[in-house]
Amino acid sequence: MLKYFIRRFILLIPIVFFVMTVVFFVMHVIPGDPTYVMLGENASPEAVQELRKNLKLDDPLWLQYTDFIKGFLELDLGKSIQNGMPVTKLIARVFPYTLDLTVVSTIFGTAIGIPLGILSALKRNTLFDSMSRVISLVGISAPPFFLGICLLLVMGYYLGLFPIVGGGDQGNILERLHYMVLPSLSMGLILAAYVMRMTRSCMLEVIREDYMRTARAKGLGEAVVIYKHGLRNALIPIVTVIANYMGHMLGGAVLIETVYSRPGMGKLLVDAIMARDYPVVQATIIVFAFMVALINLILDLVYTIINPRIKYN
Amino acid sequence: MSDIQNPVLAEVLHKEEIKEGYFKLALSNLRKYPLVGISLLVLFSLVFMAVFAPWVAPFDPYQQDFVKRLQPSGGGHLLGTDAFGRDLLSRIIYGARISLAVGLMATGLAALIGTVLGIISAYVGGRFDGIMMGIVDILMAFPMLLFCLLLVATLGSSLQNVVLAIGIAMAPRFVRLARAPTLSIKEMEYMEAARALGLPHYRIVFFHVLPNVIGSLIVVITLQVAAAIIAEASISFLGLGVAPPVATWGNILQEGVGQLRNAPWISIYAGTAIVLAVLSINIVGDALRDIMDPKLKGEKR
Amino acid sequence: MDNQGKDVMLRVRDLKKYFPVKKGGFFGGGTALLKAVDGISFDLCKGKTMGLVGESGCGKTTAGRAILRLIEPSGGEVLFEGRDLARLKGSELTKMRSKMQIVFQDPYASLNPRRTVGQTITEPMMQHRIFRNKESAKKRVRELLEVVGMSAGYMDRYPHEFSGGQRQRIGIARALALNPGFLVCDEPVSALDVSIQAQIINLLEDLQKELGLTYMFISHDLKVVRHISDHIGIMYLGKIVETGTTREIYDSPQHPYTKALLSAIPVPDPTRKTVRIILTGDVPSPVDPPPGCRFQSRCYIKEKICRDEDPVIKNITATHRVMCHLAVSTGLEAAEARRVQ
Repeated sequence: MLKYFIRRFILLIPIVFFVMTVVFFVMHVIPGDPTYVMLGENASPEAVQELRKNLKLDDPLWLQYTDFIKGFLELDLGKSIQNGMPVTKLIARVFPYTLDLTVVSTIFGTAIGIPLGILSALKRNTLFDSMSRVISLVGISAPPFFLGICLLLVMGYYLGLFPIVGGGDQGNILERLHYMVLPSLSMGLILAAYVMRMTRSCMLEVIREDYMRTARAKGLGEAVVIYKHGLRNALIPIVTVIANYMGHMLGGAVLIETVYSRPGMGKLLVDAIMARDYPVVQATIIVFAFMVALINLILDLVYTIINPRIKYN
Repeated sequence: MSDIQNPVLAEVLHKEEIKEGYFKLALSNLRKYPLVGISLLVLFSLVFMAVFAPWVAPFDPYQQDFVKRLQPSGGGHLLGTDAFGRDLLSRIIYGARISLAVGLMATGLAALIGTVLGIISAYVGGRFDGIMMGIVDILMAFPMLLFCLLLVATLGSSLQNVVLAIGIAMAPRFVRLARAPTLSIKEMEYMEAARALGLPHYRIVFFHVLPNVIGSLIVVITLQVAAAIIAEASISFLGLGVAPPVATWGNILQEGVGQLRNAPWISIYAGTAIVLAVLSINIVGDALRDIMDPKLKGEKR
Repeated sequence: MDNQGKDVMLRVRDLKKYFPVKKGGFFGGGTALLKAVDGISFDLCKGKTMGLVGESGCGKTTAGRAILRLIEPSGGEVLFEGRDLARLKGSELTKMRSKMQIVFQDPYASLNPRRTVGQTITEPMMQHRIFRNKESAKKRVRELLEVVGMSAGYMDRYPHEFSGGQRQRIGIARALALNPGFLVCDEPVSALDVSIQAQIINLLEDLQKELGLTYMFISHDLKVVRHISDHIGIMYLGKIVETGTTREIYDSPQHPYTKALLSAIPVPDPTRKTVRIILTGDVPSPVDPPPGCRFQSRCYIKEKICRDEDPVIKNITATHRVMCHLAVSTGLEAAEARRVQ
């Protein structure tokens, strides 16, 4: 089985490769001259020529492609058109913020969603259950940025509890956390809604299973029964839900970072798109794709930890 | 079903029985779960609003009035005005047109492309299918919003491009979804019968496979419309979608962010509209899912 | 089977169908061949019924499909009305299809649940342009339904509204829609209740008389096959081990497998003592079968030669043929005698 994971890990390379190719072609093959966009419609032909030479746009496509790939392999992701800074540096600077956001959001989502889901399943058809189901429905229906705005208004602005702009000094952990609360809640609560729904439905199924009755008959305490036997088996679809949401989460990061003016890959990407800063756009999307693939791989690993009976062969 | 001498009469009576049955079933379901009924009502109202916007909206959504800018509700403006003095309610009503239209069109596009590709891929099988699924897997690993942003960035921001971007981003999901039922249908004997009868492949795919696959897709299509609406809102919110002064829920929200301190209601009302629409669709979609397999689980969860 | 050449509708020679099968290992330990049909031959005369009998997995269903070219044969010839089906292409094949049809085993899976009975039967007729307009097609559908014993008013109903037996009738009506001369019946009654089985068999027989149809009747049930068949072929692991007229097979079976099958049929006569032959041993896999006779692992009279050489076909009469080393030899009775002890 270790072989399986090693194989999956190695597979990441062609996947990233494929994404790179797709991104490259999407950006270069679709009609439209980026130089005019960058310099404006009334740019002088000389300026256009100059820029094209700089960006090597007149080279044959395959040459641009190989340069592109080469650059990546050397970890030179090009220079930003907006400010000339090396893209690698730009990304490295904001990456920790996005990573923080993703991790803490996931923690929030799981920590809130799973217990609520279990409680809901146990208290089936009570007021608590109905309310939590409605709330979770609202949760999955709200666009992440709207939730962010609401939280921002209520907790940040009116109650003044949390900062609403920026990311805080990376060095200072407390400050980092402080700046992270609202953004992570914005995404985490939505994840919590999904997780709660799935947890509830899985627990409902599992509670009725015979092995639960056996466990109770054995005289084990209710809590042990629920957590050890029930939850363990229900965890797999729950982890699947989280895995699926990861994709949305990275997209959501873009939105949340915009709402809170928080530095991060998302904001970097959006700003770059607005400014038609192609090198940055390409690089960011590729890093995103890599992260998604990596996360999926990690989650598969988690599957096997949860349920040792799963063996990939 | 009694044996009636006249077969034609028997047919007519039989059909009446069936129609009655479905209707009664639908009604009883609605009575049991009022939430679903309410959601359907909300949805119809939204659609009605969107279709009849010019008659429903109290004001012209583009009409600016700098005297009355940034007012909370009052003075004929039920929901207040925005930064340009435009009536918020009217803008939201007109915004429904675009947001709902984009949601429906993008989902329709994705379902069309995805389902046909998925069916063909599963039908043909072999290497073609393997490659297609590999591509689909990789595309699906990519966050949908980012994919949309990438497409919008290259194509440019316009209504058509937004629909196109969301549609293309959602299509892989449908490819996967259409594949599973096709694979099991492929093994059915009526497919062999169709071939034995000399029916051409295109006919088999469109008249025998497709009708049997669509059933399993209805629920997903409904839920995806919700996702498409959120996607459009997100793209417009980032300023990359349909641009003002044309109103969509997303860009109303975006304008509202700039005025968050002075006039938070702009964003809140727009956002609430989105939540209402998406929530209703989700509730109806969930209900549809429950109707579709009533036998799978004993009681409604 | 008579080889007289006159009125031979279907002539199958050495028909083969092999399926490639992956063998173990992650990096592919090579492919093996599953020899589902491994060289079968027979003639079928017009208006007659040939029963193809065997256990599940012997390849009879695959053979039926291969003959109709619903799956591509891996080798051999299928001469239908003198033309080799295996070599036909495109529109010629399509035209040929209207002459040969199939009735399926599973009445629940053989009809498209989303099409009405009328649509199902009309579709092939319109496709092959048998009728110029929908009205005449509908008339024909009503006729067909009545021929198979169903009310014409059922045209607008969906399959799920019918019972298994009724669906089978619909399937037969559909098969008859193109006026074929040849019908492959693939276990058409195996999924039905015993009482309904008789009805459908009788229907098939009546249709054969009325319309002059030729049948290939595939089944694992010897009782059913006896009633309707003129000739019978016994299949085992992809090969036909014995063929003959129904009387020859039932009265004087030669192959040990045939005898075992026949001995399992309960005889409704309490005074008759039947010796039940029970086969032991494992069924070899049709994937890369071992050399020698396929039946050796379960044969109760096998000899050394059975392990070493593939048996050849021996003619017992003009119509009765067996594929066994020990048939038509004195050794057979001796071996039988030994076994009974």
